[in-house]
Amino acid sequence: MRYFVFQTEETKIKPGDKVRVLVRNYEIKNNKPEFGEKILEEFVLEKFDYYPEVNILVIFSPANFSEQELVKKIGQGEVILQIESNVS
Amino acid sequence: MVEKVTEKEAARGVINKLVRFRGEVANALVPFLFLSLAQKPADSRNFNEEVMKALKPPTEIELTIAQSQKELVELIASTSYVQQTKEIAQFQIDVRELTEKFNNIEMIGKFLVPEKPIGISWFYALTINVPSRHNFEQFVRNKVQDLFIETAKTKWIPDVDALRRLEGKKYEISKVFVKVETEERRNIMIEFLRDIILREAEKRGSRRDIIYEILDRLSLRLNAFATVEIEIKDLETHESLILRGFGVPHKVGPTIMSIDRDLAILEAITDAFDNLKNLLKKAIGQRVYQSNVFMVVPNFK
Repeated sequence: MRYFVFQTEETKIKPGDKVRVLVRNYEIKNNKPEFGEKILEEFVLEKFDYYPEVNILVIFSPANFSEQELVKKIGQGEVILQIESNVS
Repeated sequence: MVEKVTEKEAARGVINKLVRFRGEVANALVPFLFLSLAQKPADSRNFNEEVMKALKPPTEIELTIAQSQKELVELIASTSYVQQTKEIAQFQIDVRELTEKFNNIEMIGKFLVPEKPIGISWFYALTINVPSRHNFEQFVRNKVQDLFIETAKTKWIPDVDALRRLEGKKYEISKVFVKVETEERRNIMIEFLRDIILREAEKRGSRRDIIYEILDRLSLRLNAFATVEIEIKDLETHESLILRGFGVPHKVGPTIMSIDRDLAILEAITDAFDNLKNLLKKAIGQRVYQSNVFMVVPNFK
């Protein structure tokens, strides 16, 4: 998949970083606000493109979900991308 | 241990930006539609297309005709959807920076030693002040535990008395204070407006879920500003550390706007804990980057 995010800070990510894609849902269930979080996928960063003129960062993942799978997995949820690595 | 800066001024700067932004979101509806096509059931697709046609959107993009990655990015960047989400993304960065300004990363790194025991007496320490009739206590408890177990890598001891009897370095969370401010008058107005529109839509035989979705995309974003303050005591040295995290609602997916005040509160608290989490990760020596994905597209075949 290709995940599009804004990157207005200096790009500090690099291949080998750990990437986690989360799907979060904020819903009113049984008249109560509820928070749910699931991992959509986790992978080691291999490829990304940064377009500084528009501050858009595109992260490539190994998965390629179909439209139906996306509907099922994401629905109306919020998609969060987390990238982290240890400072060497 | 944490230096005190002009907190109110800095917070006000972020709030002012939010308020300014609020007035500029009226054009949010149309550009969403093409992005939401990939994530909607087939029956709402026709509806989306009809709305697009009726409202004559300034930009119509068919993602599949993009010839290259660069072309795709340029097309996407030209939409007002992206302009809109970019502003929200900027809020996230502002609030994250605000959190970093209020805390001393280096000091946190020295203070919190991984693997050391930590606990809390929720009864004495927890205070939640939110403009809602709902109880956010369990949600906050889970977030605090996650912060110290998963992120700071400290060892959670549920029994505070047992914790105090332990030898060596150990920590006690002496205060967890969560406060969320919302704009009450605006919320009342929005809820009133939403009820009228939904009632009228039902009279005309319109689908409630679709109308709700459109309202969700309009300029009905409810603003909330969360402050999370956590005081930790080192029971060995008797020194204290105060962590302060700030958060705003920042949903930037297909349903960009939170229409419900309680959900806006939930999002703002989540954001504050996210910012604290990223702060702690930096303090223990990790490079971290977090952002909301505004679009998901399959890879080129």
